[in-house]
Amino acid sequence: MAQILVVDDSSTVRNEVGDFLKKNGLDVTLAVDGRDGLAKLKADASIKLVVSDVNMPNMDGLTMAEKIRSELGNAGVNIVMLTTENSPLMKERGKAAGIKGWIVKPFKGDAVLATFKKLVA
Amino acid sequence: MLTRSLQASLSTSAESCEIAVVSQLPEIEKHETVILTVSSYLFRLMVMIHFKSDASTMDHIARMNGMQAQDMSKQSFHDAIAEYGNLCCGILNRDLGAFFPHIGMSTPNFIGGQCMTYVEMLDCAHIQHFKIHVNDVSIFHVSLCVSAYEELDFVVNENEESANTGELELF
Repeated sequence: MAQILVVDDSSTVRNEVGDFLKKNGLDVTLAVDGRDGLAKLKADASIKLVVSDVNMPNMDGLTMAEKIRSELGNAGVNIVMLTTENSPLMKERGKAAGIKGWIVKPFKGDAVLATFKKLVA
Repeated sequence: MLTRSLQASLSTSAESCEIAVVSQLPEIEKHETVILTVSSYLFRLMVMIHFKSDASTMDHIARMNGMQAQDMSKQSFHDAIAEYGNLCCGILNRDLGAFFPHIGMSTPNFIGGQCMTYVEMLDCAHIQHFKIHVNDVSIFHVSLCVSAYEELDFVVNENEESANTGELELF
């Protein structure tokens, strides 16, 4: 049962983030886009944290975050965006969807590990 | 601005990365190219990262991913280069966003090196080519093409750091 769902269309980022979290004792599930992420979240009630890219094919990360709240009614899962984007407008949209935080790529695991562990506790 | 983003995305901080302007691209038809666009209603710029699937490039990309070249599939090699292009243009997008709020960037796309012979047809106002050496080995060539629809003028502080990358901003 996973604690963290990593959603990114880039296998490089999925593997980098997933491998780092696994090495640090966290259980990880990977998804390739927002649609896949939503399906995996529906199938696994143990997921406590979603770390997601914004720009992805099929369904982007912000739309996925909105659907997590509106369709799944899942207020318990924390959502953090991991993206090259730093636009205030996008952040506002994310806040409105109830996301917990925003990380500008590249991913630096050591800088966020302690917070991620708190978010899955 | 571009050289800073290229250095940050195409090499690690532990490596030496030298970027030089070159007048033309060598044997470009033998390369592949990952292309990204950053644009607003005032301008469009394209960044094209040219690379070969040769041993030195494979070694470099594998090293950046913390793996051995022989363990890297062709798909993961291409995916990694696409992601580094994405990182590079993400930095440009953020830096230019300070001056042009209505700005957006594309996702990475691959084209064959032979497509570069048609770049002149885009009638860009500015085209510049770069050669990138990492640890004294030539790894990438990069082309920057800019089209402006209005007269543009802005001042970049080269010493100013880009966004705090990698840090979690909690809401």
